Amino acid sequence: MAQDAAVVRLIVAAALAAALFLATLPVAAQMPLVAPRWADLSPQERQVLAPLAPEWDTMDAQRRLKWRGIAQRYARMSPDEQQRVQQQMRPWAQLSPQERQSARERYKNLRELPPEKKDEVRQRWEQYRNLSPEEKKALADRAPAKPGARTPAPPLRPPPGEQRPAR
Amino acid sequence: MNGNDEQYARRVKSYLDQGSADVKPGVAYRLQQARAAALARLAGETRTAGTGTFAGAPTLAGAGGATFGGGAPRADRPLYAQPRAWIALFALAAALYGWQQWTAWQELEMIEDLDSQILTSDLPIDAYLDRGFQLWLKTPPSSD
Repeated sequence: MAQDAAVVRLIVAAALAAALFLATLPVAAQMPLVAPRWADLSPQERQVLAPLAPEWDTMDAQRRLKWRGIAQRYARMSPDEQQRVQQQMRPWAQLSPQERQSARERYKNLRELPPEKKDEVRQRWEQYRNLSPEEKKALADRAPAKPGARTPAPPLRPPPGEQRPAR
Repeated sequence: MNGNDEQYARRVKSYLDQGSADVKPGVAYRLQQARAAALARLAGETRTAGTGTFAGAPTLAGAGGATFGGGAPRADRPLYAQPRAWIALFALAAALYGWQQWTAWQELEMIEDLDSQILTSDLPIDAYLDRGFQLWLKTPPSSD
């Protein structure tokens, strides 16, 4: 019984310390994660996220909050970046979770490259885009299968200037 | 009680009176003290039973007050009966919930940051998904 009392004292101390620690975190005020409805978004956020409007209500809380965060960053982006976000938003949202995770991992690998290597990757992408569908398929067939990767190669996208922003 | 019983009681009483008259003063005093103690104990039990409570109740109330006042928890009660245990449990649950929410928020911030970088990247999404391009990157660039 005396041991019980000591355990209780220890648990009380640990729990109160943990609660105090969490209360001091700056993010504590933003909890909990509640999924915003489309109607909860500001007019600016709705305008930026318009390509996602049809599927907004089917997204889970984390995805909605993520997109809202991106919409809030939108005003600080350059016009080129804003255009790219508008072009890629819907295709990105339509990927499977595995594809998104796979793309994130590859992006992180490429992000670590020095600037000259990044330029080289961009040039190689342009070269790759100009390959024939047969050459792309041959490459995809030779590539080791990885979860989230696509094969055969997807159709080419039109250059950014020819694509209408999906507002 | 019939006549025979009364007669029997009177005879027992006379024997007892006769016996008690012969008890030494020191022994009589100790017997008196023991009787008083037994009566006091009996009176206490009767009071407790009369109020419909159980013997541990006053102890519980006292310990509860001492808990919130900062006193030591009673070691003679099970863990679940101590308010401190419930406070600790509640605080732990709150802390765990807070930690889970904080972790979820951290993860959300990380994904938001990463996704906004991917979306603004000058490489299209397909470049990160295309298996053929991943292999193409590993082949040496052509000279032409």
